[in-house]
Amino acid sequence: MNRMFVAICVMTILAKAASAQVPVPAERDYYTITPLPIPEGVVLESGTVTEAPDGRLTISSRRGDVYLVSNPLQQPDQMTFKKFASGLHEVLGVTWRDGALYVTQRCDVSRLRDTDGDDRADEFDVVCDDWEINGDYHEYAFGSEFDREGNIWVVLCLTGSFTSEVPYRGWCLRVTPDGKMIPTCSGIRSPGGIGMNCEGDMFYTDNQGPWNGTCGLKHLRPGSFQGNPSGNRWYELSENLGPRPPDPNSGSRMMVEAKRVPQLEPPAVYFPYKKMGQSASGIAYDSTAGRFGPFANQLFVGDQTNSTVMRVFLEKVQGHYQGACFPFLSGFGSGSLALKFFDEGALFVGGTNRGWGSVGPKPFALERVNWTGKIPFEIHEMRAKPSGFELTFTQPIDLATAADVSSYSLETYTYIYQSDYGSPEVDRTIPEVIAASVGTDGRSVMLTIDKLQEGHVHELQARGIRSRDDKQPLLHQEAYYTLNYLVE
Amino acid sequence: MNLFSLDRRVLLLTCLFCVTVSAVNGQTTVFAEEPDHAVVPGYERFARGANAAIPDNSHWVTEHVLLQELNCVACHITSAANQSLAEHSKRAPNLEHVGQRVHVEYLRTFIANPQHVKPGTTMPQLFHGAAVDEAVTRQSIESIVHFLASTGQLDQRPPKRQAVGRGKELFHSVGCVACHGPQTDDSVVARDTSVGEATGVWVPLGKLSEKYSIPSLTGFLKNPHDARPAGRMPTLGLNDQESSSIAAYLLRDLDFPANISYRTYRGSWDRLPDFSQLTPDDEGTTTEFDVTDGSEKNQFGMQFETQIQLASDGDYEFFLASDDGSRLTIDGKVIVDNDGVHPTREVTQQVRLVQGRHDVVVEYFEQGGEEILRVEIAGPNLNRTSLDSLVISDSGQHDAAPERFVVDPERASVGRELFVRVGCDACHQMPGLPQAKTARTPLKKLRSDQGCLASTVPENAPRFALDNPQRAALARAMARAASADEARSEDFLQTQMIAANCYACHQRGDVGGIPHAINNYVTSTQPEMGEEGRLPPPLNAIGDKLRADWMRQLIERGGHDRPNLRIRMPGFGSLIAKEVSREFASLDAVQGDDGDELPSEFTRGRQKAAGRQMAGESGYSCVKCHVFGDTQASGIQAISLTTMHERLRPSWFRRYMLDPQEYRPGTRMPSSWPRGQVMLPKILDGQASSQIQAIWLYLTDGPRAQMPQGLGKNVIELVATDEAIIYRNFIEGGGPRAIGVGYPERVNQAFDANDVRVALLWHGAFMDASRHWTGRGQGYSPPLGDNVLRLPNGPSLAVLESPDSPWPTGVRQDDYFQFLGYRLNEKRQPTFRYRIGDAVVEDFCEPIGDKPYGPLKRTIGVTAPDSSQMYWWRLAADKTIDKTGNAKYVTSSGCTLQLETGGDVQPVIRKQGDQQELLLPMAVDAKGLRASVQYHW
Repeated sequence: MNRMFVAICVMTILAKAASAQVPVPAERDYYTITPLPIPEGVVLESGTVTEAPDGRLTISSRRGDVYLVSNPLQQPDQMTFKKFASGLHEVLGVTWRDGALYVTQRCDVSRLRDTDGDDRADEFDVVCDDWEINGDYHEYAFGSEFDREGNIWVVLCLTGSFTSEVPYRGWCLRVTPDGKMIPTCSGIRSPGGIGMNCEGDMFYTDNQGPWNGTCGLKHLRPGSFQGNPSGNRWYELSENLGPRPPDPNSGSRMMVEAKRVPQLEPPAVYFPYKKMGQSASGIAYDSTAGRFGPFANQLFVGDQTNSTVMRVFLEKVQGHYQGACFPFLSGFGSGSLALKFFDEGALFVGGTNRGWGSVGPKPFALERVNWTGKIPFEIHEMRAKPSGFELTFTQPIDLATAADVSSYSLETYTYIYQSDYGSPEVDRTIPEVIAASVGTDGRSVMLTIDKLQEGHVHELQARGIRSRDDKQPLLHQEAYYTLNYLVE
Repeated sequence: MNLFSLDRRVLLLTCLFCVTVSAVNGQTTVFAEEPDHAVVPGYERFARGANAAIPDNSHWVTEHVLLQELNCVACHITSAANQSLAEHSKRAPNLEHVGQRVHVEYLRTFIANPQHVKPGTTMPQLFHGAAVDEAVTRQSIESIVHFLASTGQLDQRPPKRQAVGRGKELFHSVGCVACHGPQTDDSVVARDTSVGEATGVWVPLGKLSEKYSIPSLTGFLKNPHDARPAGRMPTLGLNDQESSSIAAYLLRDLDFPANISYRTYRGSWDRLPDFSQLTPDDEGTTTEFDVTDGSEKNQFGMQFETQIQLASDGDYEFFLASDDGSRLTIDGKVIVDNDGVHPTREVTQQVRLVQGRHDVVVEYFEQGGEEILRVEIAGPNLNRTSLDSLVISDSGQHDAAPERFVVDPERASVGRELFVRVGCDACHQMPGLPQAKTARTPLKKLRSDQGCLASTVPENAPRFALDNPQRAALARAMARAASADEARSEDFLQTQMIAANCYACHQRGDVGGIPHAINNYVTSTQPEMGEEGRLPPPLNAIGDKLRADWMRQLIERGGHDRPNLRIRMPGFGSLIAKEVSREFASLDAVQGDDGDELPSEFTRGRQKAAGRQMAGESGYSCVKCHVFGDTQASGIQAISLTTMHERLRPSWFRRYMLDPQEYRPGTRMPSSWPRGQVMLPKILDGQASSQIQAIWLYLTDGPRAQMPQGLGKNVIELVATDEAIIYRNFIEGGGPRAIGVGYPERVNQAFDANDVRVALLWHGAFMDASRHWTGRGQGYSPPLGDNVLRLPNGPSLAVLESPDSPWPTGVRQDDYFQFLGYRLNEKRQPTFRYRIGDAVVEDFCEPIGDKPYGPLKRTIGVTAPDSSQMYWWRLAADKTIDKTGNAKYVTSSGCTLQLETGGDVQPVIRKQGDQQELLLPMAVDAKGLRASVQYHW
């Protein structure tokens, strides 16, 4: 007892001494969050955010409004809000083309035009409404921006997030430039956002629930089955996709079923529940070519419950996307839902917590994230290798700590793939880090692991490693790699 | 002997002592504050002393009241001329179940000397006089007691101590004090004399704990008319809890020892736990198996331990009802098992037990929801009763609960004959009596110095406790009755109002109202409302104000319609209600009542919509003060808007609204049309009479009326101010792809984009977005406004194979029709666009004129590449559709359609199923075609 007390005191003193020399890095040293001045009386529960051709920020709301914010990259007092459209039905997708705004709302994809130049839409044309609504609040429709072929991708939540009562609930549909609808993927449960990576491949986030052990980032590979079979009855309406795949076995594991059901596309990245978040939401890739810091082309994903933005590194293994997620930035005002990068170097985050609580206390928020110019010490990439993982860092690393295997610890787990709601972490293993060899570039480490677990999340804690220059620990020491497929 | 019966014996001794004192002094001295004569409250108040203020020069009313309330005609038959007196005389209590209601001991002493046991009673003494053989009298009374006791057995239960305070509060607030007077804390008998009221004004209660048990008084208070059909003891609409609380208060001197030990445990279980392994949260002793006392409401358990005494060997049946689980163990053996989580469920079990003491354990747990436990027993000579009534009274030696009176059938049979012979049956109802009532001297032959009225009442006549003024008053009243002196209508009404003691609370003219003595007990839930929120309303011209049927129902059953008054309107039963409401109606009637509805240039729907707006916060703000059904007003809580139409006569309403002060001086009800001036001139034609009529019509929908604006919480009303607004959401009647359009002219439509049709048209408020904009937003929201016109299902236009083809239903997947979107004009009014077959349809609605609540004009334009095709526009579908003029049609729902086709195209009315449809053929050529219709609804 006494000895332990002494030990704790010593540790506390040491920790204090250490902190006195090197300040513990904080997120806000690298990225600032600036609230946008939403006019008083306006309830702007963010649905999606995009950039208008004239550089204005375009934001849609759950109440069915679309606002344009001028000078979004300036100081807040330079910004003005203008209502472009209203009376729409819970808009969760906005994107511009040829001077028209395309909105994805519950009922359809519509094209909005301002024909008389008063900055208000007066023409509302349906582009596509080839899906049904049953009158349930859960029947959300999230719409993407245009892909490289000019399609809008729409992910449709299940009816009540459990069943698919009417056509295409639980599906991803593509809406072509001429308004045709192409059934694209089944297996969707309850999306929280949709967006492309820098290659133009489409991803969406799906939330913990039936057939989803935890929230995940999923690749919408055309023709794939995303894991929740509730909407698979609509294969009968989707001749282009061939026959309905066999239903997965409840209580199994994702990769066991993926080998049995060829259409099944496992989640590219799991967001371990509570550790990373509880409601994965909007997706955006860093298109700023470095104006937002060292993460160019990486994906950023919101979490509504935790009011955070997470960061995702993706690679392709055996033809499938998989990768790691990292904490990025916390402390947003409301539940982060909508994400959008402006190439000039800003990330806009819209939030709402109506109906689903959030750590951020405000009922709604619209905020801009800017990079301070200071490079955080972070794991930049985490790649799967046949014998372990290769880590790259945003700064040169301290050789001694980086080469010390005790700087790292790992555990792995996966989820029960089941029709019941969610899953605990199961099949836990504690692999050993056998070797840590620093790369010749001085910014990477190859970890040799005994041994990797197929289909498991590999949770890495890199507590010991320090940066070369100022001996700082990582800003975020944890990383979660979803190892669906082993590298051969 | 237990404490309870000991107590009773002491009381008896006290009574005997009183008798002695009375005999010596010639008057009661022990109960000095008690009346020495029969009390008829109306007579006391209005015929004696300073309160004799009734404008009754002839004393006809007060004296007649005495005659009526002492029920002289029960014995003394009347002629046809006195039919009314016979009908309205106060009937004595119904004794059919008196054995279940009143202690045997009380019956015995009360019959022997009613006035002594209950000073002020109107029950006469039947066994009296010096010559009467005491032993015989005792035997006779005992026989009658056996007879009365044969009607049932009294159930005993301890009073809930914690209910006494609540009972006191109720007794002194709901209206009991109006007749019985305020009570003091220290004695059940003694009255609060500090209020300075003359004794004798109050209806005596007697020593209630000697008379009633908790269950029997509770039952009586809940349904007093069962036992007392005369209605003088009115019902106050007390619920079970209120009745038992007042009973606990009135019987608070009952002494039940707390001989049940209990332990309370906290925990969450699905089945009864082993309480012996748990640590109790609380423990103590109690008088009954009551699980509702503690602070716990959910997730708790209780264990009771006690001993009961059984009077004889035999088969006993136990009844164990509980929510959730319970178990009854006797002498260590589980007798009834009612375990598990369940709603109230009763399990019964029969078991043979021997005479004597038995250990009882009752276990109970509550997971969630209601907490209920009832443990009952029935057995030899033991009607079903609560088991706690058999609990032994102390830890020791003796036999327990009061001995049960055992009816001797032979004596009861003798008693039955005596009951008739001495004339009890003349006043008291009792079923199955052997013979007709004994004939007595007819009323008109009575002499004022003989029989009941003699200064020394002969043995063969009942002895009423009358004083000299009462004797004289009765003599005069009888003389008038004998000469068939007819009552004037107002006198008759006053007599009945005095008999029912209406004046104790209500003022009518200069008579009555809350007397000073109880003024402090008549309180308001909202003191800031002043006297109006506290005092029962005056009854001046009440027959002009209230509908006769409402009045009758209210007087019969009572009510509590004014939420701010603590005092309640009691119910007096059907006879009093019928007579009094009839007299009010005929005395106060106002000539020329013009019925519910005046003719108006506006449709009923429009009037109601305007009425609702005016009742709301953007109108005359009725909802600021008046509750709407169960929904509280935002300010004070005045009488509900939803019962106005049932209560009030429309003609009174129209006059009252123009000048409330004239009808109710001092009321807080504002003059919304001061001197006829209209504050909201834009509503309807801006005339006060039209507006009041519209509010009335709106109120006639009662509880079905749509709630006015400004009530309920979190309404997010969408208002079109200077341009049209759109709300796309789940709209009730408009489908999941509904597009609501609100126009500033307070006309609205909902377009169903699923079925490409105009689904709803309505007036007034547009939409309340709170359902969809609060929380997750589940479900459909109805229009917020009124006067909703529903247009038929299915697409607005169709191509029909033949003129008889049924109208297509909405099947989107067929690709037969497709919603294309909408365009907004400079007023932001949408033109909806959709495709039907090959035709593109433009569908545009706009309000006509700038006045609110107006008609709507709908224009449809069709262009089609194939001009040979005939398109049909279905304008309406209804039970019937009639042509009433040039291009003018009226549906059975009351909508008028005025067509503008721009040519000589004639619509057709066709029958489809049980409906008629109005179809306009549209032969579209290359230039397209337009047609319009005006909807007036």
